[in-house]
Amino acid sequence: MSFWLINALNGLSFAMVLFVLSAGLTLVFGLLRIINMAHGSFYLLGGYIALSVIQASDHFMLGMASACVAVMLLGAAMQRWTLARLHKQELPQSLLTLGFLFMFADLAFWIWGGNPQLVPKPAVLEGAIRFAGIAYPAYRLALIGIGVLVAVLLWALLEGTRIGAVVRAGMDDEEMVRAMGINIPLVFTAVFAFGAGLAAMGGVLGGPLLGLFPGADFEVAMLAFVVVTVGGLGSIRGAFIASLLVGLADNFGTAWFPQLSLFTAIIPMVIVLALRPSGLMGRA
Amino acid sequence: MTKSASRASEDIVGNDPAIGALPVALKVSGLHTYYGDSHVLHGVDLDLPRRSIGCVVGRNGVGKTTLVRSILGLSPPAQGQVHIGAEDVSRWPAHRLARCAVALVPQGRRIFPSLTVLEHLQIGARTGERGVDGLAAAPWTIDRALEIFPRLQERLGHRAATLSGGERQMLAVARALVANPRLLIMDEPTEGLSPAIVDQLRELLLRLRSEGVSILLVEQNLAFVLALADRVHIMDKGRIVHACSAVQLGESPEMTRRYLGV
Ligand SMILES: Nc1ncnc2c1ncn2[C@@H]1O[C@H](COP(=O)(O)OP(=O)(O)OP(=O)(O)O)[C@@H](O)[C@H]1O
Ligand SMILES: [Mg+2]
Repeated sequence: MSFWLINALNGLSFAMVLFVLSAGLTLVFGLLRIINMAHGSFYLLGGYIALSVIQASDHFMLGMASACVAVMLLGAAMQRWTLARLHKQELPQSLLTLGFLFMFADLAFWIWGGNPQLVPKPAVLEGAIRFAGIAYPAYRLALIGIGVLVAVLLWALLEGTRIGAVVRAGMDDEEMVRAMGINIPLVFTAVFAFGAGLAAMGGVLGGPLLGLFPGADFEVAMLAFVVVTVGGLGSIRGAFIASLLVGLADNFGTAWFPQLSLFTAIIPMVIVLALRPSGLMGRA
Repeated sequence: MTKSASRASEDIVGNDPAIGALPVALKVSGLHTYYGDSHVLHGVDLDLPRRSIGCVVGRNGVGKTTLVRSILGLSPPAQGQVHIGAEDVSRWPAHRLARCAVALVPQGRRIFPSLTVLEHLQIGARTGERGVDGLAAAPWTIDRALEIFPRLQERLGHRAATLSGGERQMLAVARALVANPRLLIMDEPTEGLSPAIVDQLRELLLRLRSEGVSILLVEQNLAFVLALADRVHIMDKGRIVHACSAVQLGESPEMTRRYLGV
């Protein structure tokens, strides 16, 4: 019983980190049609920036806020000054992001070194909570709540506001949105920056759990790609469901077949894509 | 020649002698547009006087949609100018042009499947400057647009993906209407519409013209063109080969056969 409960909670909390990370990736793909290879870099840089700020200030929320803002600015600059110049050339844009992945990896290594580091948890979420016969880390429980909250907020933003409607319209038909007088280049930059900020937030949330180290960018990006593909490119709801699938599959898979860990995370992708090539919530 | 030209300008004037005195709403001169290596527009010239309906007709594939796209900056022309009022807008990005009260009802409707009917109108709404340039003072609000299309009112909260073809076209028109354009460009709006909706659309366009809107109408439906056009521009192989009044076109079966295939 407690085996199931603990692994389910582990899977869920990991899934929420995955979701926050993947939501940004899927939004950016849905609107800009770019596969952002550097999305994992935003995760890693976000985590590292938060780490430095928390070490200096002893303040988790301040670390999170500075990481998100800094990475959003970085994303905005990268989109505005490099990607936007390759308008409508999706493949060169995606390749360019691959270049950024390597640059950011070197930069992070140069600043923060090669040793794995854990982002300190917020003080209130140290320790464990006892229930149902187990003692479970408070931080992981909080993650589940935060993930759900982010999902609800994103959904409300996208479905309930005018800017959300503009973004969805842009996913459907970017050119028509332009013909309606909406400054789509600006929307592109904003959405790319927003996606980068979400990745950074994923890095901060996941930092105390998964740690930060050279290569973490690539590892999490892999999983985020799986999530986004399973969920259907561009769909937040799909990304949420797929994160749960991948998170749980990864945890139970690792518990049962430790030697096949990455493989079990990818099984949901193989099954879903075999049945629905455009993903769970994919656009046709 | 001079005589026929002045005759044509009287046709543009229509019933309102003041119109002829107003400057053009849209002036296209020497427009060349390419898709990659393929040369589609070969020097298009076209004038649309204010408060008039100018129709562009021509067979499939002669470049009508390309002309619309070039005017709007969606397929920027390689050569030539587009003036709206006194402004040279040839190199403007599309979104900037649309902010200057130019709205499009595109070929194929191009509604957004994942948006509700109401959301289309919300993101399309612009107050525009009313009461200037002889434009009627009452703006097209979402409510007023919905009065014209009660069918849309009923489906306000539905996603556009669930709309029928006719409803989609109404939505495409309503979306342009609430932008409060001074220049409205429509690309084959009657395509696939039932006769009743076509009649309704005709009434609406006449009303818009009387409110002061200038309309560029690309159309293959000859009856619709003859009923509405102040001036007809016949397009062939990427050029305007002939311009005349609707009456002249209606009286020339030779011309309709040659350029329109009817
Ligand atoms: N995106 C494109 N890339 C390459 N060629 C194109 C493109 N769009 C149109 N064309 C070509 O340009 C020419 C003009 O097309 P356009 O759509 O402007 O014609 P049209 O007069 O609007 O036709 P229709 O009556 O069918 O709407 C056609 O030969 C078409 O095949
Ligand atoms: Mg066309």
